[in-house]
Amino acid sequence: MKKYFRKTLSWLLMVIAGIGIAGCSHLQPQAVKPWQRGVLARADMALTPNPVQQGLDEHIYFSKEAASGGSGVGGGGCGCN
Amino acid sequence: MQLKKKLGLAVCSLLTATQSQAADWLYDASVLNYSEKDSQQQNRVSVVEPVLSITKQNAVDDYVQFQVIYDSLTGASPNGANASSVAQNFNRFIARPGFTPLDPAFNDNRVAFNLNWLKPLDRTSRYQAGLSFSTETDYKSVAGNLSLLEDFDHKRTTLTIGGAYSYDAVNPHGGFHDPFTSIYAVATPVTPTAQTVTSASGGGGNQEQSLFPGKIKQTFEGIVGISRVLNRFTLLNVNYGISYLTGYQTDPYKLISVIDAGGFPVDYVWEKRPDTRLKQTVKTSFITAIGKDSLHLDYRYYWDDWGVSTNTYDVKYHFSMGSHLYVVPHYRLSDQSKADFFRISLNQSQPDPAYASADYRLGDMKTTTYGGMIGYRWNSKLEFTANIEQITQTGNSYPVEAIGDQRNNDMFPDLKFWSLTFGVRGKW
Repeated sequence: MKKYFRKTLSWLLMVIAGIGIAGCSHLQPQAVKPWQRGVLARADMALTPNPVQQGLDEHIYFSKEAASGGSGVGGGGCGCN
Repeated sequence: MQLKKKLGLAVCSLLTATQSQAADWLYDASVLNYSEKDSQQQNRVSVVEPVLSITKQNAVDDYVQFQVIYDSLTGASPNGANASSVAQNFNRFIARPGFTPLDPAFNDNRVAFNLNWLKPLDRTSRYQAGLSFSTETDYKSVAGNLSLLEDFDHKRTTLTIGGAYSYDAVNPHGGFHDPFTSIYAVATPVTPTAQTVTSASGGGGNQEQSLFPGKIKQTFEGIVGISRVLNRFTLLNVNYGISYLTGYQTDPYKLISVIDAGGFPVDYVWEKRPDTRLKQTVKTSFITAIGKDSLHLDYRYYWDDWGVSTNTYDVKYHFSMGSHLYVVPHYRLSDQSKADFFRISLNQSQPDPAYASADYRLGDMKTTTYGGMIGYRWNSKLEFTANIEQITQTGNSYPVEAIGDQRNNDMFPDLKFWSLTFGVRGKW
């Protein structure tokens, strides 16, 4: 448990560092008007920019790991795991 | 009452979905090529998986999508027995000394159909629904899902509440086997008939002579998610998911070595897993634009009542290289702890446990992915992509529970997978 806590903490620090690289201003909450959403509407800003590739990746991980899910509900079953 | 009204609107909107609107027809076709090799230079499974997705998009929040997926799997797969310094006879094949036994007859085809649609209910809410069906020679699944999405705070926040149900039937080649019976007792394999379900349950499930022959596994899923626009450049999404599985969850092809005091195999018996499983996940996704690029960070914590817990980190950076070309390097790490009933083997001198599996996928391991996608937008209606990934799985090759001869053999050879996907997408 302690091992996982340490790993989680170290990774969280790395993620926070990554966010820092992205610029602190990107974390600052701001009111966003509809006409200010041009960047957010870009295809690469979608939660899943490439759903077919994402689905293929998740199918691989589903068949090779004990853990699955987290992104949503549904999808077809598979006898691979 | 509010929910009832929205469900009524959902039905109406689906029924009127085909009314004439200025719709776009979108397509996305990809082919995955996938192959595995372990550190003992044994080739394992190869997969070819084409996917075709067609979407009729009326608006950003109004579409109907149909997807068909075909899987072709061939090659060799670990049968659960551990490597030994002696040759091992599994009836249908003999494993060489020092090598992880791989069943060479791993072969299957799968076809899956998914129908999904998203429809607006009113100015701030919409629903998403889906139906799925998949069939393999030894497995069938039918599933449905429904989610409601509600916007708040001038659409800066979206709440998602959803549920899903799936009904799967396992019908293995060679029939079912009683758990912890020897693989050499193959003269009377338990075939999937209605009379044999109770005696060979291997962990629950009901038998049906129907479109879904075999033993049944049902999955009930729920999810609550919240998406938040932090500012003009950044999105944050947090999901909590829970799923409850009940029915047959034993892998009918996996077995466990039974070893003597010297660590040598004396028998091989069929595994057994619990017939219920409660899985939970918390996943956060953070997306921020950096000029014309974007950074995607995902973290997922998974845990279940089998004792498995997993930390998964996923990083993608979308480099925009002009108006046509983009590159997306990808890194993923998943660190998994083993299930409570995971065993590398059973000891001849000890009684059988309630549950046991030697399936390495339930063991302690790390899965690391390095890869990247390159995409080229030919024009506004046509885009090509190529994605390559190398996935490595590492575990404990010499665990403390190994005894005698097991200590001279690799209990978890590293695995390396390559996946290569080519895709084309666009609209007409």
